[in-house]
Amino acid sequence: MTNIINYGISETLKALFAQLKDTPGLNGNKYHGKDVEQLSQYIVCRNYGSLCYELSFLCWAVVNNPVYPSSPLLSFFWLEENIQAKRFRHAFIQPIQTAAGKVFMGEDYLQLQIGKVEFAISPTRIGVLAVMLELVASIEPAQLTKIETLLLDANAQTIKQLSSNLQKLIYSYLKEHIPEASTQERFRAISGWLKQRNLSTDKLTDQDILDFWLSPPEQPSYIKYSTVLDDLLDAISAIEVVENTLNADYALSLGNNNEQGEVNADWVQNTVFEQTNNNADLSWLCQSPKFLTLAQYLPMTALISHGKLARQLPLSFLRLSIFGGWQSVLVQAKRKSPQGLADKLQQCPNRQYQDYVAELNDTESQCKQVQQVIAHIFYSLNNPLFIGIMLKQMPTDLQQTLKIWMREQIANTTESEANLFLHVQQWLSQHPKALFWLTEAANLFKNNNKAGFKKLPSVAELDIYQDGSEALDHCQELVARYLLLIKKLNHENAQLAEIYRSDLCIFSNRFKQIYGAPHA
Amino acid sequence: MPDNQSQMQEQLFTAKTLYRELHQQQLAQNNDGKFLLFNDLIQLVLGNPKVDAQQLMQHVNQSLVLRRQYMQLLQKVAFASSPVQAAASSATEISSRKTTEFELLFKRDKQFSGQVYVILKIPHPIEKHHNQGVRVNCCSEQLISAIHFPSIVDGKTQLLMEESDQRFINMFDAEFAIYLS
Repeated sequence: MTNIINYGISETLKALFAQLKDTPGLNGNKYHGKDVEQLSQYIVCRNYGSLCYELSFLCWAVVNNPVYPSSPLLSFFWLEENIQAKRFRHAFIQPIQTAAGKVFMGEDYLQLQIGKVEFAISPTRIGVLAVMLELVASIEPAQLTKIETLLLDANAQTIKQLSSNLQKLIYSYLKEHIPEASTQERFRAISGWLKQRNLSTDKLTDQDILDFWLSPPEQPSYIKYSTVLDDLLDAISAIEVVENTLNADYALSLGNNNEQGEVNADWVQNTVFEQTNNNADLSWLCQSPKFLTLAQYLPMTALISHGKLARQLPLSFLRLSIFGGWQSVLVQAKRKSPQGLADKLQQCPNRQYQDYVAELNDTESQCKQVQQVIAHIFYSLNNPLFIGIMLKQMPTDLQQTLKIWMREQIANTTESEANLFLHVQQWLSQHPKALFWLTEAANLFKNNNKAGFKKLPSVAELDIYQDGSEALDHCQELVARYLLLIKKLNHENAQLAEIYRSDLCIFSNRFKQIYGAPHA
Repeated sequence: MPDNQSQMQEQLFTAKTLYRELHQQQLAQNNDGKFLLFNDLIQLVLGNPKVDAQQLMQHVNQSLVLRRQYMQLLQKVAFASSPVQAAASSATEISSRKTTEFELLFKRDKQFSGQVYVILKIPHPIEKHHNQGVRVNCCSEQLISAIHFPSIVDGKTQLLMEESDQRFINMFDAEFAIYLS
């Protein structure tokens, strides 16, 4: 069953995660893309130990809840879908007291006391924990009954046991689906190549990347331009991060678990996903609420994935979009027929560098518009968060005036948020340009018929709009800064076309070399 | 500690690479080889209109393991059931099925031969039956079929079917157990 194409992850595991995002529930998709994304971070960093532990406590609370006389896990997680913070709180509104322990919903956490062991679960964690249990149940459905039998009236020791069982289950599943040897081989090949040329993050240029692709090391085989770019940038930033960490005093205690000689998985996850604030998959922006369409999101994915390195290597990302995309077309054609491939090899890509720039421009203005729509939502619900969005999105001169005015307000008074909101409202009403911006926002909202924007959400649903606004902010900034670089590169509006023509020659030759040989 | 250093670098590289690969397929919208989650099976059992029931059912019928899982779930969530009619001899077709919770019978259409009205009576239906209708699952060792009846009104609902429809035949085959969900 396990079908490993080229490198690391099996198609089965990819399909599993794709389906986790797609699987239906009572309303729309059952799991939020953000939670699935979060779980995937735990999985790829092999940092799922504490998640298993947390899940085991949650399962204890569900299994020992007397409202479920039979199949408690099935009822709680699947039939009732108590997997959003609000429903989760509601499901535990009645305290539970059994001989083995007790559970009650506190202000911020679900509190468990089992024997002498205390444990707290935040309602905001329920999403990712539910996806984790789905993963477990999908790998081995019999687990649910096993967990129920094991945990009924169980003590804390048994919870620990369950956590360890779950870890083993995931571990052996991943062993089949993620062979790490191949990624290690890739890393060694690339780091060797970088060392040979004495390259580090600050020295790497667009030409280096092109050189690598044109004459890659013998092993492993590097054919796709996109893989070359991703691997080079991932490797070089991994090397840099570790060197910086090791230069700092606390390095060893952070990165290494000396006794076992293993790398600390928490550190890996924290470094890759949280510290650098890049590399995250934001495709949940295209779910519900649908902040962006896939067509608007896709042009940014590579920029999001590589963050600031994209600004250092503007040409490489133009090449990725146009020629990387064209290479995928060639690969598809090759699968169909030799003649189709031969035809394609004679053609040029259907997009040029300017087309990619136009797509990014479109995405950037879309980000801005959606931000304005979100500001309208917050404003309509009297939520002061709209001020933050407005401060970034309004025309610059208005921003300045508002900032100065707000600074005075804050310095002069010690008012509550509600009062501040009223004051800002008054200020807005005195500035026709600001009012115009708000009216525009209201109109944009009215004309937005995408999921999540058809009507005003409830106050309880605002969290995801805030997350969306923050993510859009991040995207908008990335794209804007990248576009600025391209503008410099293309200062007379002729350079891009010139570079494209020269690149077309280089890439066509290499493609013919790779795919044109009769045996290919 | 050069060894440890390169190990740390490798781990970071691996995490980033795997993460990217894991998410790439979703953007490519590659539809061949869909993974069947536990939740998909449950939604199928529950009759969630958002699942591609026909395709999933085909999938289930091809796998003994999935059929068993489906049956186990049905037993947990079913509103009522009618077991395999054990005494049945060679002729396994029956004209009606009756339990305390429901009655299933059919009448031939007088005008159009080959068509039958299948009538389902539930004297004490649950709310879901009023809102979403009833799902009738027919299960044998080798085959599972399911059919959706419209909402219950005044304790009953009916469906016009072709007499040759396999799903109709299964409903009145004594070797099939019936589960209502």
